[in-house]
Amino acid sequence: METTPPTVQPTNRLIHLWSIRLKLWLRDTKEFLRELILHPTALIGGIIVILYILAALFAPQITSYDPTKGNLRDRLKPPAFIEGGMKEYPLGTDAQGRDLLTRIIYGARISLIVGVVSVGISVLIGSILGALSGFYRGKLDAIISRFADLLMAFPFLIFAIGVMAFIGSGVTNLIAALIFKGWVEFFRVVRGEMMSEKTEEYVEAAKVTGRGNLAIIVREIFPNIVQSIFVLATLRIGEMIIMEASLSFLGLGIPPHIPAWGSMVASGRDFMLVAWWVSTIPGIALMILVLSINLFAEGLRDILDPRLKTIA
Amino acid sequence: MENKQPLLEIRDLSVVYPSKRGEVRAIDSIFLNVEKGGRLGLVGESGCGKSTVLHAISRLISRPGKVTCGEILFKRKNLLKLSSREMRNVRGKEISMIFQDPQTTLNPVFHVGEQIRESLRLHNIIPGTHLPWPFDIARKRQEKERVLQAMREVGIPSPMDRYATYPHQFSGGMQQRALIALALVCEPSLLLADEPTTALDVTIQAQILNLMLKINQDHHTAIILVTHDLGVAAEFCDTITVMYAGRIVEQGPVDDVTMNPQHPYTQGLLACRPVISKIDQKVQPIPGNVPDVIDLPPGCAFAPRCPQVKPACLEGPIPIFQTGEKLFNRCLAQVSYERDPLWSWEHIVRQCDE
Repeated sequence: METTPPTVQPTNRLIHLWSIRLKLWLRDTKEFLRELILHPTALIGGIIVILYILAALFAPQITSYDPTKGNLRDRLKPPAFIEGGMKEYPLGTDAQGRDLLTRIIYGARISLIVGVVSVGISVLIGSILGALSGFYRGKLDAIISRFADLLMAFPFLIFAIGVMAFIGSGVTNLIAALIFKGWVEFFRVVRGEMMSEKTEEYVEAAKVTGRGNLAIIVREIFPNIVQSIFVLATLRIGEMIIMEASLSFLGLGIPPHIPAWGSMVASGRDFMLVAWWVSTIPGIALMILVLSINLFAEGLRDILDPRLKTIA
Repeated sequence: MENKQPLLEIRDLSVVYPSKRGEVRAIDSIFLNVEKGGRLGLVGESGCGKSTVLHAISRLISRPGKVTCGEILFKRKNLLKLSSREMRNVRGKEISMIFQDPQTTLNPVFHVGEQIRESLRLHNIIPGTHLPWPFDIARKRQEKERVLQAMREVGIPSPMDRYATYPHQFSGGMQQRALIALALVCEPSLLLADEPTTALDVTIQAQILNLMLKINQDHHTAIILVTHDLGVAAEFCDTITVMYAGRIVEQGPVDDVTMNPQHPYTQGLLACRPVISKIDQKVQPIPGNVPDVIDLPPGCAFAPRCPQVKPACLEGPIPIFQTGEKLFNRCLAQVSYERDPLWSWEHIVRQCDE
């Protein structure tokens, strides 16, 4: 039976196609948002994360202060809501008289960049290696797995301290140090999932329809495990942010001229008794961000798994 | 009957799985013939190598296992000699397979219709070149049309709505229909069905069998049906092959095998089917289990469980005897031992000796 497709002008066809795509995308987004409302913790987490991202993006527009230049006359001013606080410094100032709010907003930039980039590259490396060794097994798998086991034997922080001491501080070096061990977790998850999914019958069915190995990995198995990778990645972003703060706290992470939460906490240690806010407030900012990321990740896991969904 | 040429011819096929205790002969020197549009039933207990035959045909024997000898001629090509790329073109396009558990066979994260379309796309069924995705809409529409047609044909109601649903939203019977549509959308000439009705309840089972029968008649698709249920095979197939411990014990046209079984194992299989009209008559199971395939008895593999066993059965290998025009039987109890085998596969076409 031959059906002649109606002739459509190429440009019209493209517009038509894009309208369909847009409609589908809108429908999916709407459905996702509807689900999100059913998970209030995830919704709140998501909103807070978005606020952080917006603040980081528009930092120069939000605050007029320079994060690195202080006013020495206004040293260690308490937050505005405490007696003696000034309206000009809503969260107080540090020992150099720099506005804490400004520094926290600029610090969010570093934290988010380090978290997202290090996790993103870790996911990439871990997924590729994990998929290959989980699917093909054999010598390749043995070598990569033993190397991964070796890395797993080190505590993350100690390992990162060692690497940073070796390659020196700096944003790129910090990200590299985090990736160097961060990919292992993704590798293990993807490898394990790959090994279990590989024995599923749909893989055999795909072979029977004539698919090649690489197509089976990328187009059949990967969509089945991408959700667990995604959820794990979201959780790991929070952990990486904490790692970054810990290293900066120890003076090994972000160099001192760039505002970062970890080094802010460290710089306030000496004034803890007279000016508690210098250390505490960046710590709270860090805690709220990581908590929000974790809540959002947990909600995502519930929402994204199509197998948990009932008939639409 | 004479004008039908064989579509698939399996000659002296053996599959061996090495294990720590020795070699496991999952299939031992199998001979099969499937004609164009034929319906062959492979019957036997679990572990007798039925599914292994299907896997050997589609060349999907998993790693330690190996086809040690024999040939599989499909449309006069030896499948065992094809490169893996050529084999991929055969799979799905010319030989399709459906599985026992439709629930796990469909990929849970893709729409059912898309999975069926994938097979079309993969084998370039719609002529023309593949364009990158913004420009492939005309082709996609044609492919979708074919998919809907296939879904309609296998009896999925309102295929338009079902196209974009996930497998878990289908019932078991619907999933199996979708799988059949997936297997048939490229119009293969041979369909391998690995216990397609085992996971379904009896009414759906009948529907699926009727559907497969209809497809067999409409498209002349040859079907190899693997089942442990002799009743299903008797109803569906035109030829039945009974297997035991990796060997063929009896083969012949369905009426001969089911009405007048020659091999004690086939007789046993028939006797242990519950019959609803004889409710007070007890089902008679075959005593014992399928023997350990690592060390089979030197004679007939069924001898330890056979009610008609003779001393000669325990000695050397038992040849297959031709007892009718298309009837083969591997049993000494039925043929007098003195008589030479009329025609013995082992003696004539044995291809490899260890």
